[in-house]
Amino acid sequence: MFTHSYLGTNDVETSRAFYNATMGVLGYSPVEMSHGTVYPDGSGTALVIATPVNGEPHAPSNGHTLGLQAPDYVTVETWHQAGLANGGTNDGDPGFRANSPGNMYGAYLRDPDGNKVCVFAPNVGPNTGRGE
Amino acid sequence: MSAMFTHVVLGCNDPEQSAAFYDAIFAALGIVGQRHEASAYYGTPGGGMFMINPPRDGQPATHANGGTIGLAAGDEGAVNAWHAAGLAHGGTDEGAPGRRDQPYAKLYGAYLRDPVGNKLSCFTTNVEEAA
Repeated sequence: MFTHSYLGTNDVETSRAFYNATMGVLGYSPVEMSHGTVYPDGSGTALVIATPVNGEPHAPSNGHTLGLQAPDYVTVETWHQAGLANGGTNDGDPGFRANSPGNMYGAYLRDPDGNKVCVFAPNVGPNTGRGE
Repeated sequence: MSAMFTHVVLGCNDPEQSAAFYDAIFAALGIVGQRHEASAYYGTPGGGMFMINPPRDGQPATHANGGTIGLAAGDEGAVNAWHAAGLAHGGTDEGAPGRRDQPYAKLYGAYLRDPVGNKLSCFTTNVEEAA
């Protein structure tokens, strides 16, 4: 369905540090541009974090959330920790989300520019010994 | 690695108005929507889902500056149909359908703003070369 998702930033270096850490946990490598960073998935989809093309400051949307895929629960937790350690703010601890299809395991962050991002892993049963 | 994106959520202020817009543009891409209370959903879990909701914080939905959602179309005709459907259902033009080649790919795409002002694009890589 998606070719790409483009999120704005006002500080390329700060956002690059956040996304290099969090996208790195998910296995994606950065491609640096002068005005931002691209994270391709190798099959035609990419996440782009860059300054707005119109030259105006970036402003986050209210209501927008970008969902990323993780293979398992521990990757969700590692992603969340990596974001908090690299300029992100907590917008929802790792845990099962009853509103998601199949009660998936997810977590939410705001990136350094205020964009809301989350990561979800398929539910393969109780998270024994960690979280919920 | 499976798909990068699980889902994208955008806010709406008038669920009926926004759902009418998204029903039309996704129909042009062959994707049927579902409604649940004030939400509309498009696509399937596992294949990428798109949804619109009033923001959970109770504040008005606002569009970003700098944010764009890119949707995939099968061919140039689908891009044209997507753009026309959006203009006919409360969207505004942000870039007419046309070639937008990049060094790495031959592309054909178009841009719209939804009724909230969220910026969307629709691209196909299946570009026919001019005879």
